[in-house]
Amino acid sequence: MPSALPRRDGTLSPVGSPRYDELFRGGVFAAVIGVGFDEDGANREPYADVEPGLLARGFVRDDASALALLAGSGRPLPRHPVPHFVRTAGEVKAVVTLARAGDGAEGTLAASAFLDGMNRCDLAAYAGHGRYGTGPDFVYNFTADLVDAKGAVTASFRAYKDLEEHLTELGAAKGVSARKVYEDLTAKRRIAIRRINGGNLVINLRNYHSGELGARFMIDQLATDPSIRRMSQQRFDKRYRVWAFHGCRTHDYLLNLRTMNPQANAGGLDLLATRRVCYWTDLVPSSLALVDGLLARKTFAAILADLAAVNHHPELEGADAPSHVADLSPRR
Amino acid sequence: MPRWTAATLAAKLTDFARAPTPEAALALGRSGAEEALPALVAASRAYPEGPVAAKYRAAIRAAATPELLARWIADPDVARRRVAAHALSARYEEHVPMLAKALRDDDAEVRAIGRRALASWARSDALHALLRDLLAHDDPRVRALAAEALGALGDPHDAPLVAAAIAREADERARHALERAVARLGG
Repeated sequence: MPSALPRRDGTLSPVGSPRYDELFRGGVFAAVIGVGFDEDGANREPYADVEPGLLARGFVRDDASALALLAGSGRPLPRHPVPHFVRTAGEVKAVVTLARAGDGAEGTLAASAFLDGMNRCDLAAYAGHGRYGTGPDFVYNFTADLVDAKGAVTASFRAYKDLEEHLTELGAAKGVSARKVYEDLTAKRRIAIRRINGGNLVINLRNYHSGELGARFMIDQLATDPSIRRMSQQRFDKRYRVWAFHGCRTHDYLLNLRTMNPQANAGGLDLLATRRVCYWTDLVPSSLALVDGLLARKTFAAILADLAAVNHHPELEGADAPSHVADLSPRR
Repeated sequence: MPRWTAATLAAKLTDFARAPTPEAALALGRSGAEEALPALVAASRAYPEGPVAAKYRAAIRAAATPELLARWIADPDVARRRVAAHALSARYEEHVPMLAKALRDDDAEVRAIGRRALASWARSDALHALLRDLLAHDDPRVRALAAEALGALGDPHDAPLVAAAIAREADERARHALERAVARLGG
């Protein structure tokens, strides 16, 4: 069902190219690739491993050289202890920083490293859950306990998919929906949620997916957490950059990214996002294809074509058009 | 009894591999054909979120009977054990014996999937007994999960066991989990 909420959808037919003169200033290109968290471990599968893709492209792990290249080109240095890969062959020397959720134990660090990269790098590319339009996420979202009338815990959940499945089963036994069960439990204070939001970089709290219970869980618990990291409150240097979000329906991010942080937009911000669900198998390959496309100085249209090829799955809903859209800053 | 012939099942699995849909997944899950389970698990894991993800899970639940899971989690073929582990959940008491096996499997991936299955749970006697046992598991991550769950279950009779585990715990995170559990248990 179409949402009546305000939004930007981006375009499938972008005109022009990234500002390569600014992106490659000093002969260096700096990127951060973030790989978000998945409760089922998909982010730790071989298809979500960035390193083999970088090595196959001639990158090597070399933190010291990475820092020297960044400093030599006048770019800010990374503030967090995460790995860096460099490729010095070619006209533009490239530095790629990885921010990976892993098993979630270091998810807050990964989120911090990715946020740092969003400011200091020319490209920040996220691969992971879209989290129902709320933003990148590098760790478990919450634990939810169901309690009985005496306050005893009867069930506990670390993943919203598990909670949704459980509520669906409870509802089926009563002939009601999982949403109704959730609302009843909430009204009776029979559900206790402990937030784990250190890994969330919150872009948007509008519920663009009101028909999905997972979206309700996600937004309910983020909206009531005063400690979340909201993208609109982050500080960004004034300069041009490209941000890309490879996950499900990340075009939900576009409106807030464009309107809620003037600092991020002040020097020019080009955004790439998806307009439908995607497979985990394609998320990291999308980030790598984007790095390839930028280093090859492709147009935005060509980059979207490359991303559509990586994400080519005709069976998916919405696959009648390419997977990604662009939302570009005004050209001078 | 599978409701499809071998040829029909093979054709449907081929179709599903080429173009997975939630409707096809549900049909495969309800077919009684255990050969469908790997494809269903793979499709489910590749789908990050959205209403379709829940349908893939329902298909897995339909396919993964306790009898099948018990056989596959003990299978010499590690691929089968991994598939079975993905279909386990500590929310189901009948899965608990298989979960116990998965958490002590020779394969690290099976153990990792087992930890994931233990992270969400529903109260049952079998699970309670397993959690007490897991306080002595080799993996501190498992010990921490067990401690957290025992603390949440809130049975004061567990306090001495958890307190004893603190004394021998070398891992910082597991020890913190045990200490929180003791506090919740009133120990």
